[in-house]
Amino acid sequence: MQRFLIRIVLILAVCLLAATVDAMIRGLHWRQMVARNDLEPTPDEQTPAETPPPAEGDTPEPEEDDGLGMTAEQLYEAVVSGRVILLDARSAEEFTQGHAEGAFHLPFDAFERGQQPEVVSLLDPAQTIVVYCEGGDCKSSNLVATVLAEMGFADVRVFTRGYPAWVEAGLPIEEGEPVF
Amino acid sequence: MNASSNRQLSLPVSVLLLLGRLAAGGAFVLAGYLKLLDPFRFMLIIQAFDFGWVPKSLIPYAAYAIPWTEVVVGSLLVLGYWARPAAAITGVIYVFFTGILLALVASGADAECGCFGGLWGLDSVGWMSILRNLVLLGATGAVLWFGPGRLSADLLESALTSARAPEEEAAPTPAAEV
Repeated sequence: MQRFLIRIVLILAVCLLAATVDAMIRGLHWRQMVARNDLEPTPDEQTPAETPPPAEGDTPEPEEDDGLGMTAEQLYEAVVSGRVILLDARSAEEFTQGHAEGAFHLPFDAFERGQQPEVVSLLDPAQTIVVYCEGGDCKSSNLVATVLAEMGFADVRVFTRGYPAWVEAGLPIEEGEPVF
Repeated sequence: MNASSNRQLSLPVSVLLLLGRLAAGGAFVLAGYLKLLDPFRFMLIIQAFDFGWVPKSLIPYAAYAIPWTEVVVGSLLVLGYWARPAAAITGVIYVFFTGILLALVASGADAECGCFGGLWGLDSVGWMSILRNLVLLGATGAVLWFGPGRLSADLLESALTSARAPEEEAAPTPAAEV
């Protein structure tokens, strides 16, 4: 019986060792998983009951904090002037149908296999990078921003109101498949 | 049940045990391998289960540890090496997975179990997946109870050990030579 238990412990130790070595070997992929896990709210954190519901008749105020400290128009000017690199974290299909002018396509999926997407090698680590997706509940821009920050990009921000705000502001959009 | 009782098992029973080991262990190896192709996807599925009692920080590690455990114990089970300890671990995992499937079916949630990495429609949750797990659990239980049978690495190892032992006993000690 003792030998039986010892063998169980040894087998489990080998399994955990293999998992640890695998996670270390995959490096970037592992860090992305941890980043994603940290971003995902646990059930305890999702407490909508704590937020008082708006009183009847109240119209919801527009969200002022877009995560940037600048309007969509100012963001466009910054992109045009070259002060900001704009990244679109939505799917390739959505990007092809329409995206902010000058934006590069970088979905979170591009990192999931643990490889560095080609577009990342073209980014300047010292430059301001702004990532957007569909706004609202979309998480991909947060995920891409987290990974880029972990990779050493100094100033990565998220345009939380996303592509709908860009369209709503009447800023130029373009269609076409991702270059990278 | 030890090596000598393994030898006493008839060949048909040993063949049945081999088939059981191949089914339960093979399913584990396949499931683990497919999960390891994309641990990220498996982590998202674990997150979706919302286990309140699992520390959140452990979830990414679990996405690696569970598939590796499946691959290692599944391989041991297929080979019939350290088969009973491997069967015990496999059984516990099958019970755990079946419990999750039952909870999902009972809740009526339209979810994936992530059992086979999303391939071949084997991830759908339903009574068939529960039945599949119960059959494999039964095979694992048989290995745990009867041992791996005559067609196993465990028996080969014990045969080699017992063949070596008489030679050692027969070999003269230096004192005897004098």
